[in-house]
Amino acid sequence: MSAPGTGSRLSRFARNLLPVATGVGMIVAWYAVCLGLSPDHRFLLPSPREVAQAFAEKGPTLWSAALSTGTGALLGFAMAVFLSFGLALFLSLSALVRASFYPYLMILQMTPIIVIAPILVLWVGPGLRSVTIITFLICFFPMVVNTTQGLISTDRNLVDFFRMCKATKWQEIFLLRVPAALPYFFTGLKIGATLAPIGAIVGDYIAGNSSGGQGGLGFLTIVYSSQFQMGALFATAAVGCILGFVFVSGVIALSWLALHKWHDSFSRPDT
Amino acid sequence: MREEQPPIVELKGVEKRYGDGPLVLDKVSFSAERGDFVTLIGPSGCGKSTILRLISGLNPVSAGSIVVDGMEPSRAVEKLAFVFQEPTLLPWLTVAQNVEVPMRLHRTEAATRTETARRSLELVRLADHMDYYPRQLSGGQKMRVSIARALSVSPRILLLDEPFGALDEMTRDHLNEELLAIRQQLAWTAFFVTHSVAEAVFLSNRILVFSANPGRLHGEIKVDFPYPRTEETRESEPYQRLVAEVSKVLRSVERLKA
Amino acid sequence: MRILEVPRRTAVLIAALAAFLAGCSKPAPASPQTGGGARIRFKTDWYPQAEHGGFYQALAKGFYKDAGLDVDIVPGGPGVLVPQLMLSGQVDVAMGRSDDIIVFADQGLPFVIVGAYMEHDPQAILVHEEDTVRTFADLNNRTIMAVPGVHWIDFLKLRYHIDFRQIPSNFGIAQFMSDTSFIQQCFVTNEPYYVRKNGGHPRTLLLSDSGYDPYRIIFTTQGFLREHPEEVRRFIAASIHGWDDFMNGDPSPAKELIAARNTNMTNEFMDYSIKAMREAHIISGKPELGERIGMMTRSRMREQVDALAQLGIIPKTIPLGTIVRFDFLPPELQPAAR
Repeated sequence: MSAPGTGSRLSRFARNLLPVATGVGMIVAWYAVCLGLSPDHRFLLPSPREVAQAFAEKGPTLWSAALSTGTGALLGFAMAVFLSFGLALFLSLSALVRASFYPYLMILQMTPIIVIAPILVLWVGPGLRSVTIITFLICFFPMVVNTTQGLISTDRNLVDFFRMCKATKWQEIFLLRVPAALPYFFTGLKIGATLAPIGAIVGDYIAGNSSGGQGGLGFLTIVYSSQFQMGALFATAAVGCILGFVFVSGVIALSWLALHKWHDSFSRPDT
Repeated sequence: MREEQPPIVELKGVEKRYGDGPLVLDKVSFSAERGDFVTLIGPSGCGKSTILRLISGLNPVSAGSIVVDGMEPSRAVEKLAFVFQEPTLLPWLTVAQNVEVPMRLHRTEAATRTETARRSLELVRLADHMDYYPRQLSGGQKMRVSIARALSVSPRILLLDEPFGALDEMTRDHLNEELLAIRQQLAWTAFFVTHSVAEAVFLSNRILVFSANPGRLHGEIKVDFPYPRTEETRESEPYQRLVAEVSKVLRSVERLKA
Repeated sequence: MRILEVPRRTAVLIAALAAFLAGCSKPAPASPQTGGGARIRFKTDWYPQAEHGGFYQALAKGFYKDAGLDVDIVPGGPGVLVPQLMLSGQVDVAMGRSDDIIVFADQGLPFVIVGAYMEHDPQAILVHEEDTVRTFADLNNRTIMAVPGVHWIDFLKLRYHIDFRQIPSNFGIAQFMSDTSFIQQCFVTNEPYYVRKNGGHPRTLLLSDSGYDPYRIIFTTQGFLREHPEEVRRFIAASIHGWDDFMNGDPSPAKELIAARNTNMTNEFMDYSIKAMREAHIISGKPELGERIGMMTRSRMREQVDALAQLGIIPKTIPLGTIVRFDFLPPELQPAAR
């Protein structure tokens, strides 16, 4: 990747340094903005130091809240993965099936979670179950759509080839359509992975996640905002961000495992 | 004197239209003997690829009949192999696994599959690439794998639809020679579609010329050069004269209106 | 840590950004003098309801106008964060609860309590009649639906040596109605009415009986108080007058105004709330203790501060002067000088 010589060594050093420099620059700008605010407004934007302090003081609370929310997110996400795959298989069978079911899928997607969630809590009870279902509802639709698209977009020639080999419908689905759909499947998964933590936090916010009395990140959001602890609130947001990162990284790692040998999305730039 | 064998493929009055669309093929009739190498040539839209698909059973005829080795095309599928314009390899399988796909679909057992795949790859001289993935291969190599895959089922009839169209001329010439070399060993009947007159003359013993709108069999040109044909054949004068002649016929066909 | 050298162009950019924001951060003028008198934007803590009756009475009967004030009552609602609104200059004076404001003031937020409109908190725990919970100690190991972050939760746990799980409040009673073992927070003036109307049998435990006894207060920012002391004083006086008239006179003007602004409000419900407030001595307090509408005493404020300090919520007891001003109350309600 790097040709010998001092020129590229310097550029590689610069390339690693640049994001760090940008990050430091942003923190400096953040401090500057804080200093520039009037006393009355100062409380609306905590300084980096206050946020760091909140992390230090409330570390254990944030950690268990992250675990609590993360559990709900993971369960809901996993449920969405399996059920969306099954539904996509079903929808891929014929255009008639798709025409019959897509409208209802759309309705499910359009209904705002904020409205469904309280009804859900009433039926299922508050806690991890509700959070899991809310997370599931948020992730489900993009996964179904992407996987279905992948299953029906198989190369026409490959389908013909399989027909020439007198493949059964099941062989066509599991030996051809499903592997060919894997890139689409993982696209849906990546979208779901960004949505799952959000869904769990929203679910948490509405349905609580007090398994063992410890709320999740959504619960903490209400606590810190009503108690006006802005540093802690920002810290909670940062933890939510990290949780999202973890999810997406996990999915990217999975997709690397499945695809890197054969799919162009992982090809090296100068092959 | 050889016993009179029935033609291996026979088309009688075949017509094809897609849905309510215009007539793509109009009363096409011809037959092929075992061992023939028949090339179909003609302007775009004359239905040559369609004929291959009809013979293979991928699409049904609208009128007329096709008999393949005494059967309807869809029943004769086991005796046929199709090489498409694109290599149509499954990108998530290795070269060897790709060659094994038809056998896997027929539920051949693993040991036989592996051995047969290896032999097929040896025929196309890619046995040392068995564990490569398609994206690591060049266009020509991918095509050879596709051919190896077609050969793995020991077909009686090989259908090839412009298989070398996307390759450069040198690769194409090499692959033509390879194809004929394999044919020496395996003696299948071939139906070949191409736009290249030079290729048609090099490969086949019969050239069927079609006109377009709708597709009709315009005429046939026999190619008498003996097999095996090599580079030297390409340089020979009779070959080049025949190429010129066929080209002329092709140009005249292109000028025909329906 | 080495200080990173910031290139000159970037430094100028940062300085410009900071200056721009500093310029933007001056709060909008809080109460421009209009023809109708000094303007006060007063934020309530919920949709218009009888628990805000005194203020609406003062508005409807012109007490504010007589005091030279143009008062705008801005309703709150679920999830509305009043302190943030006040700091960003969108409201001038607001309702609150004394414990919250004490905690904010300890955090250094520039809030100050200037008056009280309820002598006792209408907050209560709502259980079904047949529930085994009779006292606060019985809440041990149960699950309660309450707003996350309220301090009385910690108080109850500490005071009665109990623990319980908490789920976030959705301010409804649907779950309560469908589950006879459900426990949630409520206002004695509100939820029990709806439970009964739907055929349920509710029972309440008034939080102020647990020893946690905040005032429901009127508060503002130090800045606004400094710039408009007279207006604040007159506002408080007119509001107390409104509450007196609402509870002891004819509350119809307030009720009409509330009903006009909150289409879900019925007279029957408002009458229920007023009756509940009277029975629990919410507004005027217990006469035997010398309590009166709008009064605030030093001793009760100190009790509040001590309770919060005991809970570890505020690190030490802070001087009352930093959180509450008694001198904006009408003279007869001010506590004796220390």
